[in-house]
Amino acid sequence: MWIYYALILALALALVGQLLSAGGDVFLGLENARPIGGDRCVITIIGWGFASRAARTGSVSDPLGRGINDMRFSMSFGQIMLSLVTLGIVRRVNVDYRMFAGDSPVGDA
Amino acid sequence: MPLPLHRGPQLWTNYHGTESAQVADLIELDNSDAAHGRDVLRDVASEVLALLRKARQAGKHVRPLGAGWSPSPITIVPDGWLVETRRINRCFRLNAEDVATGRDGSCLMLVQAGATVDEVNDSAEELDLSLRTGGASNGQTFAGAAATGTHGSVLNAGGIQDHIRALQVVTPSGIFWVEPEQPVMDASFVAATGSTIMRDDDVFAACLVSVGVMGFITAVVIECTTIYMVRNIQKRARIARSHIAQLSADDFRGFSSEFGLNEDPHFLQVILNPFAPFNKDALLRLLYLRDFDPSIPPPPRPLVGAGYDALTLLGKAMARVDVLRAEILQLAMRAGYATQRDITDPEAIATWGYTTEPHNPIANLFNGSVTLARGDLDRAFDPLIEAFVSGGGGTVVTLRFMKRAAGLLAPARFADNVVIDFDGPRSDVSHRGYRAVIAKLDAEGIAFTRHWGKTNDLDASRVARDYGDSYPRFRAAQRRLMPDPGDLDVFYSDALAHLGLI
Repeated sequence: MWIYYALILALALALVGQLLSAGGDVFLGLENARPIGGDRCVITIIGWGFASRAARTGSVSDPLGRGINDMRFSMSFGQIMLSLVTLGIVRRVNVDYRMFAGDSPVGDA
Repeated sequence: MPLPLHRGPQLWTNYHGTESAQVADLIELDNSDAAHGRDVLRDVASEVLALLRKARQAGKHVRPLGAGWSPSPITIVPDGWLVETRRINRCFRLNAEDVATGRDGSCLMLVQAGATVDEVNDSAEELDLSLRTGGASNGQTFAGAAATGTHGSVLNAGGIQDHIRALQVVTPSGIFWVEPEQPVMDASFVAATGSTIMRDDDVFAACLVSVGVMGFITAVVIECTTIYMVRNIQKRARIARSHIAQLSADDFRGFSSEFGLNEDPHFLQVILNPFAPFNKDALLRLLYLRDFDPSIPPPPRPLVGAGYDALTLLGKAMARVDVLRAEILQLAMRAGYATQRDITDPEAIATWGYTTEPHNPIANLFNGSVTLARGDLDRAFDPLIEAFVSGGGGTVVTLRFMKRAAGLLAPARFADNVVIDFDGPRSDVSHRGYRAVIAKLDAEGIAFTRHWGKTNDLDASRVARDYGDSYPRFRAAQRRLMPDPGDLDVFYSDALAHLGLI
């Protein structure tokens, strides 16, 4: 019998660990940052990634063509809970990003 | 000159997430690709002039926006136009013929309003120059940091605005080159920037800390110093109450010899846990001047960016839980100074530009501060800490020191200043504690001012009281720059009217 209890405990701990780890965020940015503005794109992963790829793809408008300076990937507490109650079928991820303002060497006045 | 990018109506939120507003248009200025700085300035200022005139015609209010760094609502303009300057971020070297006769231009640099402190540091180092001082972080635009009187803790310097020698300012009536009465730039250079010279000591002093109500600043001329390096001592240490008295009495050398090197520090900062300022470790940072040595490689950039959730969670926990507050705060402080550099460690020496801290958004922060005469620190410290903790506390308490800063509305208006910062996770508790500090200092009859860019609970009557004669001089200078009330109205916002600045 004890083996079942141990298994349930291990699974419960694994679940708690997964929930906690989902709260961690990651940040990717240029080494010498030159950020401007900022916005958030929320991407939804459906069906553990097996469903439509379109929902999992965000796009950023960059009319000045200088690219992205940095991005942060995170999940809020509510998003973690949504993922939990839907058994991971619906997983929403925030991508906060800032654009690159441009960088120039010193010029002559 | 590329046209400004109109991003349209949207909800805009500032960098620290403390203020937001639905704006009628978020307008991104793009930079001129002209080869020379004077032409770039003329192109950009002409574009800003056209925008301001259009706004006046349309009855819209305009706020210039730098990095959106200020936690206070001074950038907020509901239903107005927010004009983002970050892409006008170039810096230019000046030649001897660009400056007024008899003026040494070797340490001058022309900086566009959207350049961040980090960018200005990089450019200055390209020219073998350094800034004399700066704020704790380097992500603010230089012009924005100056407009709010941002400062660091360099013992013999004022605020970041003290670098400024001239400004290009645009109002709906024209493009002005504002200098003190003693000329800085050559008239032909100024004419090439498309500007009209205005030499007026008070208008210049008002523009230094403009709080965004002295027109639209598009560029500044700053004076740097020959490039230098600093040795960094950064450590956790237990200080005693007597050390507060020592700092209040100007004995920085004595403090330094006990906790750092036996020499005069260039910079000294103390971060305390208000729940146990002398029973738990404080975080000390001391910087010492060193000659520039090109053989010393730049330090690796610190890991920044991640950690949003942890700090926010910490703030929420501290807002709700009364027990273990001191321990929770101490934990955060330990994380803040994870890397220590003591006097016995290998020397950490870097240029000034590499010593200021890069910053990425990490949490919803509360920032508040009071600036008082350094000599009042000893008598103010105990009641201030007691008030802050009784109000709930919730942030660390930082002591920074500086000289009187330039600018009519510079918060550092005492000959020698101590700035006491309350920076930490944003919560009602943090704000309540800060309000208790304000009330206590008033009750004790201790004169103080507050940072324009931080949470400050100021209003018009208090601003007039705090700044005395400088306040009417500021308003008079504002009228000299913009005699037409319709011009001033373009820069109106409720937050600025509440402060009595417009």
